[in-house]
Amino acid sequence: MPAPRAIPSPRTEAGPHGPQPAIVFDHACLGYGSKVVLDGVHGSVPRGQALALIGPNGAGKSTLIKSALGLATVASGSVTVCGRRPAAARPHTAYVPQADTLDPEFPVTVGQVVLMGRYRAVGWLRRPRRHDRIIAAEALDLVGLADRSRDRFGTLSGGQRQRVLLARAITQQAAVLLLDEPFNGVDAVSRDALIGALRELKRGGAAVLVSTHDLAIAHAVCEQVCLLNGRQFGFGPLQSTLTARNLRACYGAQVLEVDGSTVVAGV
Amino acid sequence: MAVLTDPFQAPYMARALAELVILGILGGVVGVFVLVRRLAYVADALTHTVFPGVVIGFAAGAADGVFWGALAAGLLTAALLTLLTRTPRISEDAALTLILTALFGLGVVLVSRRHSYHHDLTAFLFGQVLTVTRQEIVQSAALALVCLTVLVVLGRHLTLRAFDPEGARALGYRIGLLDLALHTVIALVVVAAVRSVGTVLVIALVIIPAAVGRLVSHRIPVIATTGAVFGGLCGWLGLAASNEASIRYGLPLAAGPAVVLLMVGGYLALRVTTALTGRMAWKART
Repeated sequence: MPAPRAIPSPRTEAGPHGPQPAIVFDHACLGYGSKVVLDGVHGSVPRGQALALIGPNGAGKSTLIKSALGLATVASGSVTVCGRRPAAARPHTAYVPQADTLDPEFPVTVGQVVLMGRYRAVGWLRRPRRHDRIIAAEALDLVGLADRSRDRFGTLSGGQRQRVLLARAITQQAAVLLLDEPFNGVDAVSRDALIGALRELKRGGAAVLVSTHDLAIAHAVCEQVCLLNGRQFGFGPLQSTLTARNLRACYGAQVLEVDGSTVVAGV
Repeated sequence: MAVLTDPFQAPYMARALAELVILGILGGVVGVFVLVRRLAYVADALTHTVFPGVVIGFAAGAADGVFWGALAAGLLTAALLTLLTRTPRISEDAALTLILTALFGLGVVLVSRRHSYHHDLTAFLFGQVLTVTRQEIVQSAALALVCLTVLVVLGRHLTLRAFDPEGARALGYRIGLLDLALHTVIALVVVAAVRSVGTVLVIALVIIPAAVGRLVSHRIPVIATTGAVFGGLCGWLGLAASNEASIRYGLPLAAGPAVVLLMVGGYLALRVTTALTGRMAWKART
C-alpha cells in the first residue's frame, strides 16, 4: 500500500541537526500476535522532550507504549528506542502503569514499591544497598511523598499512588519514560506534582511518552502530540497537530468548537 | 508445661515434632507468596495431582517409592501448569482444573486395580505423622532448605511479579521463569507435607499461617516470619494436644487434624481480636 503523502523520514542517526532521537517510529504497524491495533505510526521524540498520546479509549495508546517496551508486536515498519530494538533497550526504558490497575490490598510499603525500580540494576542475587535506597528516597522526594515511605501502598490516594509509581520509574534512571494514563482520576495536588516531576525529568535529558485524555496536560508538559485512533491522525508539534480538522478526523463527531477553541466531548 | 514437653521424650513423638515444626515453618514462609499471588487453588490442586505419583511410586518401591513418585508428579504439575497458564486463551483456573482432574483420574484408575492400597491411601489422604522416620525427616528438611533458599533469593523479584506483572515484564523479567520457580516451590512443599498431614490438610499448613501473618503486618518479611513462627508453634501444640487427648482422655485425636484445627482457631481468635481493637481504635479517634 503506497503512503498517501510524502512524509519525511524521521532522523534515526546522529547528524548535524542534533543527537540521535530517543524513540523513532518508522511507519510502524503495531498489535499483539497477529492482531493489528494501530497502523501508520511515524515520528520521533528527541531526548529532553515529551510526546502526548491522545485518542479515545481503545485507540491504541497503550499498544504504542507497549511497543516501545518490546511488549507488543511490530507487524511492519520499525520502532527504535535509544538506537536499538525495544526489547534490547529495556535497561534504558522505564514504565509507569496506571495506579488503579494494581491491587490496593497488596502487602507492600511505598518505600518498597519505589525500590523495585532498582531491582534490575541490583541484580538477581544481591540485595539493594545504601546507594539504591538513597536513589529511591530522592525519587520519592521528587514526587513530594518523602514522608510516606513506610506507609502501605494501598493506603495512599489514587493520585499519590500514581506519584509513587513515577518515583519507581525515576529510580531506574532511564533515558525514556513511558506513562500510561497517569492523570486519570488524579486530584489537583498530585497532578501538579506529576507535571513538576515530568518537567524535571525532561530537564535531565529524559524523553517522555505520556498517554492522556486531557489536552491541557499535553499543553503543560509536551512539545509534541501523537493523535491516534486505530491509526495515526497526526504526529508533530502541538500547535500544528492539534487542529480542529485533525481532532475531528480522529474523534469523529465528538469534537465541538466552543468560543473558537476545540473541545473533545464525551471522552 | 509438662504436658507440652514430656510426650516428646518418646522417640516417635520427637520425630513427629521435628517433622511438624519443619513443615509449619516452611508452610508459613511459602504461604505468603501463595497469598500474594492468589495461588491457593494451585496449592490445593497440587495436593491432588501428586496422587498418581504416589500410587505409581508405591507400586514401584513401596513406602520409599511414595516420596519419589510424589516428587516427580509435583514437579511435572508445576511445569505443566506454568506452560498452560501462558496460553492466553486458557484461564489459570481452567488450566489447573484440566491438569488436576486428568492426573487425579489417572491416580484413581491406577489405585482401583489393587486392593492392598487401601490402608496406605487412607494414610495418604489424612497423613501419618506419628510413624515418620528419620529418613523422612531428612527428606523434609532438605526440601525445606531448598524452598527457603529459593524464596530468600527470589523473594523480592516474586513480590514485584505478584504486585505488578506488567511492570515486571517492562523491567525485562521473564515472568514464566519466575512462575515456574514459585510453582515448583509450592509443589515441593506439598510433596514434603503430604506424608505427615495428608492431602486434605496440607493446604491449611500453607494458607492459614500466612493469613495470620497478614493480619498483623503489611510487610512480606514480617508476614513470612510470623507465619513461620505460628506454623511451627501450631505443629508443636497440636501434636501435644493430640497426644494428651488420646492418652489421658482416651479421645482419638489424630495429630494432623489437631494441628489444622489449632491453626483455624488461632486465626479466628486473632481475627476477632484485630476487629475489636480496630473498632476500639476507631472509636477512640472519633
